[in-house]
Amino acid sequence: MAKLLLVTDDKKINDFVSQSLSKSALSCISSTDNDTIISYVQKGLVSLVVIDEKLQSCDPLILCKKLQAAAIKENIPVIALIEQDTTNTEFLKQTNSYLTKPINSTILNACITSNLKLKKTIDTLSSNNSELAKSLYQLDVLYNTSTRLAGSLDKQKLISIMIDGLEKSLSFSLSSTLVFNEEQDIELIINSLYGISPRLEHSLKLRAILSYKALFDKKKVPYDINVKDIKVTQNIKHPIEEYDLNILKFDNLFAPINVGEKFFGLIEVFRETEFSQEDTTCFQTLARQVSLPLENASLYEEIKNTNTKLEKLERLKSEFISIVSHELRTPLTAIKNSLEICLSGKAGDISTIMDKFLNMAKRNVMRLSGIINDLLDLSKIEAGKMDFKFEMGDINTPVEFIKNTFENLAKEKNISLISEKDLNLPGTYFDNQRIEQVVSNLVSNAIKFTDEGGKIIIKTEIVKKSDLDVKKLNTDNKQLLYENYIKISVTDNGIGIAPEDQKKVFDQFQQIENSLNRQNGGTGLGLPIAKQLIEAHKGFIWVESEVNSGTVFSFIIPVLTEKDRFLSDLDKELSKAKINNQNVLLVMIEETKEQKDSFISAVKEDKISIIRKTSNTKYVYYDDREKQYLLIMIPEADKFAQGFIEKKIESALQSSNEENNKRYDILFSTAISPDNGTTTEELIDNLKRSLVHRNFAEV
Amino acid sequence: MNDNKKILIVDDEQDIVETLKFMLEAQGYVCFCAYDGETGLNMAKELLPDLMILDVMMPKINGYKISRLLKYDTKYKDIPIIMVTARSQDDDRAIGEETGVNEYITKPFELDDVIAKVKEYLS
Repeated sequence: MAKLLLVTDDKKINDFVSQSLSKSALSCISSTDNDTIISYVQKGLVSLVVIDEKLQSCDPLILCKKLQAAAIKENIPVIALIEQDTTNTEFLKQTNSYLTKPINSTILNACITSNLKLKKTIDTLSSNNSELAKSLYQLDVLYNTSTRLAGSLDKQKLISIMIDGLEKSLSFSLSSTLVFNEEQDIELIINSLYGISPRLEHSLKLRAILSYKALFDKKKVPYDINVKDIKVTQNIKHPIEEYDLNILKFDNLFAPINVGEKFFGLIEVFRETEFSQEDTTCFQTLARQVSLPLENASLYEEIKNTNTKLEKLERLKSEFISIVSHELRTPLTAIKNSLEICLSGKAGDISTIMDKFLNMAKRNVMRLSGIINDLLDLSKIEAGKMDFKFEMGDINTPVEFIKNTFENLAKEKNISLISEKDLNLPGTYFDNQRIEQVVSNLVSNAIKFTDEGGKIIIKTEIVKKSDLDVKKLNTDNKQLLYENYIKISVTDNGIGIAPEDQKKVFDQFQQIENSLNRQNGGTGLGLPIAKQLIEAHKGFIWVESEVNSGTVFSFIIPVLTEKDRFLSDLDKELSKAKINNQNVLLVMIEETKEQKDSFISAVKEDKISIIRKTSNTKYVYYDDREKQYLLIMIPEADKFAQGFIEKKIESALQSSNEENNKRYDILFSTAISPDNGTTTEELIDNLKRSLVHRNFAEV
Repeated sequence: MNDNKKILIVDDEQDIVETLKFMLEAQGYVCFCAYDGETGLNMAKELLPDLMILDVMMPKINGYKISRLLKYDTKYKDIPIIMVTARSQDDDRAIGEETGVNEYITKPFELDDVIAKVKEYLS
């Protein structure tokens, strides 16, 4: 029943008001004690206050000010009882409405009713307002949570983001989340305001299992779970107090976490106060929100695992080929030796026919040995273990050498082998042995697939980037990095290659289904190897052909300046260091400022950040999270004495060692020649030995 | 003229040892054979051969170790060593050179090549 608080010293008024209200639904209490009055109002025990203008015990104005301050939260209206001739405007300002003495019972009732109505309206409004504010807050949390969820692919992190979001939006007392990581790895995450008693923990486990089984009712349960299988993680806010089984009587919400058939877990939250409809919606939205990123995370994990497996398989394949090839070489050697002994005649006379068959055996042993070498080459290239010796030279040298090698074979088949060399080619960096290998492969193929009386031309020329048709280049990465290239082409007028087979010739083990090719044997590895070797030179190889009129195999390698060469070297060393996850000391002995600048820009592009740079020791220390490189630059070109360089390196190492007691693998990169008669290699060797000796580096 | 020049062949592949021995004896050399590293090392110290042909991968002691043990000992350091191996990676060659091996031949090799090398050291 609503209550009216009457504040007056006048007994007549008191009696009148009480009597006037007896027919209404209001009861009347009266008091003149300031503290009692304020406390009634603050606690919201009354719905309305009627205050007399004339009070003996206190100043009604002051009391009224206090009342207004106390009543503001509860929206309690204050009605003043005033004299007809009142001048107390201040007092009137502090009240919501007034009644003039002497009071009329009807007017009193009407005034009270309208004020109560007003209070009710204001109450509803402010309650709506606070609901709105809460919903807005929950929406904000939902939005933030969904943003955070989208940014993660880690299962555990996703679950913890969801719980965090729920805690913010629902301010629950306890949440219990069952998460299925793997079939046998089930976790119950309990986030709670207070500690958890052991029997509460046990019943939370049971409750989770029961809810889980209930979800799948008669359908098949994805995994069978047991209380013992569940490991518990507790996150307790205030461990001083403890919840017991009583918390299970709290209001609760429950939701599964799943995407369609895929089940990740379930969540239940408990709160002392009841959850509203909005709370329920918010809870379900969050539980739904987390499912999708969870599915992404588990897909991502699957892909990652598959990838690791594939990488391992790839490595195993390379290792397998390498081991098998080594193992094959030994028995092959024994066979070859025995044949040679017989053929030498030292083991006794052999007939002409025996000689023929022994030679046949030897020829096939040689062929087998060639195949094994091809396999080894390929496995080495794939494992990144192929060592190239790039040196400045004239590409016409290996071309001429191969032409001379094959001259006899061509003559036997009555094929004319012609070379058309551009004698003004610029020098460039290449591995002579490997280029010989590629040209030899192309020429021997040309001879194989050209009929008697045919013609083969080996041509060298210089081509500009703009003159090359990138579409022809047999590559996915259709980009030419350099301005000038040297082109070597081998043209024959042989049987040609069908258009559908032209792409396949560079694929491993992809022998074209062609009887002639079969007759000519081979592993089909020659061209794939050539492709890898040319790509290691930053070049491209491709084929153009027409059936029955001939084939042109061409490759280009870039014309490299000293600077290009230097940068690509550094690039190689750095990526090697990254692959091996080593600590690397990169010592760079510089010749020009230009080299230094280009080096720094190269390293920067490599996304390695410079964390410190001191001008006096002239060294830069690079940190790429767990991997570390130390680069030392010694720019004075006229002081390349070993002792001087050693000193510089040591002072750099000492400063770096103060921070981390690391030892480095040494990588040297230098473009200079020392002037005291020793070679660059000797200088580096000496430096290495000295650094290992002083325990700065590892062997 | 090759009389009494002693050659020690150490390789766990008996077939390889046999063919090498046959060809070298045909050239007039006296050959001794060992089929594991330990025996090979002991024989080398006992016989003081004029030349050794050494495999890398062998039971008990590998070829690199034998080479290092002999080449760092003044008593044996002058015995020429020809290393024969199925391994052909450049790193292996570098290790061979570092341990003091005189020659490095990769399997499968030409018998004539080995004989030519032997003659080079024993003439």
